[in-house]
Amino acid sequence: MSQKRQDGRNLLQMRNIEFKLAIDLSVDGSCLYKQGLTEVICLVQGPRAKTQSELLLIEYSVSPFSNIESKRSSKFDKDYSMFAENLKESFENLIILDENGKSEISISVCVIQNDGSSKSAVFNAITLALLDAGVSMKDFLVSVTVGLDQGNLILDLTQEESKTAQGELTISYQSRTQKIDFYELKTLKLQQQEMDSLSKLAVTKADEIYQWMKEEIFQIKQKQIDL
Amino acid sequence: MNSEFVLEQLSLGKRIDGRDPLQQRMIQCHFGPQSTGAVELSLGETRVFATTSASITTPNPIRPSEGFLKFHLDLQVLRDTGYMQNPIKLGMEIEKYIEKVIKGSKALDTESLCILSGKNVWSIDVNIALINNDGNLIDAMYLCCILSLQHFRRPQVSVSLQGVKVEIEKRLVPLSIHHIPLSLTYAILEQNQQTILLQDPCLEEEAVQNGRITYSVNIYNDICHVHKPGGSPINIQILQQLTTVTLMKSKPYTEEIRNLLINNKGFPIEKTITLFKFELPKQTSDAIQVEQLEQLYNQ
Repeated sequence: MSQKRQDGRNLLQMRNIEFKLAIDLSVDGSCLYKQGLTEVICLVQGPRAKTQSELLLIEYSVSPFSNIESKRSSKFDKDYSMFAENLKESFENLIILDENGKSEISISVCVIQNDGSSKSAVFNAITLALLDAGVSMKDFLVSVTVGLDQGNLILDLTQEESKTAQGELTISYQSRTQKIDFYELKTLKLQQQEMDSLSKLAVTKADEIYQWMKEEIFQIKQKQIDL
Repeated sequence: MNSEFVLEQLSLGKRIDGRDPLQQRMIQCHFGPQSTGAVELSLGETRVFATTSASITTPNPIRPSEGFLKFHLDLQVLRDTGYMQNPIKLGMEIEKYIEKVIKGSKALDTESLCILSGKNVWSIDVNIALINNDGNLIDAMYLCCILSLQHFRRPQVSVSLQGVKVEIEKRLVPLSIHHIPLSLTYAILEQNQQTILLQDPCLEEEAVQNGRITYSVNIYNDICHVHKPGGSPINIQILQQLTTVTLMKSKPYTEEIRNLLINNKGFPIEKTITLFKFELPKQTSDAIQVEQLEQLYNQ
């Protein structure tokens, strides 16, 4: 009998992923992304006339009620500002921005509920919202979190699991060119073999998520055309 | 113009300072007195200065048996040199990285800083200041920080039977550092659909890089932290090879750091140089002094 995790999942089982596109019609693209209990909302205001000096604006926030411990997040919090900076670097390279520098794209993303793997949920939500807005991109960015707990590889960690896990790896993966973009490994200590097996698992699972998401997006867009 | 030259040389397989792609710059170190943990480190032309201080405070009531370990970064130099990136954001990023590596890998356990649970704990502050920027600030500042922590000696403390009074004795003891995590940064460049990796990039190479990857490993071949911000996608095979190379470097690098600490060079300049001497004229009344000062300024 295979081992089960706290919430009854198998070791290599994702939580249910649901997403809804075009939830807010006042902006160009929007997405509500749910991965188990983790929820992320993302709004994209597509190429529009420039109001600021930057071509891409990303606003990343975590709502104060999202965590189990209620904590006020400030804009100057180190962890948030660092991840926001990383997000910007990722998507600046991915989105085909206006070469003339006359238009800008602004993305605002918010974690409504955090039950682990929130960073990968943020990546996925932004990609889906950008697809909804019809912004041209070089690739399809999918992200996944894997971990190592008591010698077992586990997929899609919850908040409880990430506290006890030996190592936690978040990657974002460009599926068409098959390259790793964002890579963050948080661990106490890990051997090379373990790190290799973690990144291999993450890449294969990211590929699976990509295939599934692509199908879903095709179906949604097909429906829109039929209407 | 400068960046074009760097890229042109890289396509010929050369770096502008003549190093191999996976070679580090020279590390030089000067140590000050142990009670302040003063270290001046130069990694090539990048120069960093760090000091450590310890004080006794009351702990956080949520974690009564944990001391404090804080890092303060000073990147004011970047403002003068017309650096493009926002120094505040960069400072936060480096500070967060140092905190993650040293606390996350438990190199210095905050519980070892406890004197009396719930009453007295040590609070260790590390101040790191940048003196000159020539690229790879993450490695330089991190290395200076860990050297300062190792060089530092805190005063010994004895707890009396009543358990309240803390007496500071004159003997100095080192902080208990379990292992030395190293930090190695590689710049990632894309040229003719080939990925080029450069260890320890200098300022000119940082200007043309697409992204970077920072490893933190220790001598026991443990990987403590890996961080790669987006913007420069790489293959998984390259990542695996890079990990192998990094782990091979860990042993000579650690020995180099240990040698630096054993050799323990003092500061090169012992005397303080007085730039100009200004002696006040010997007068007793203040009013006359002010007048004379004004005269001197007017001249």
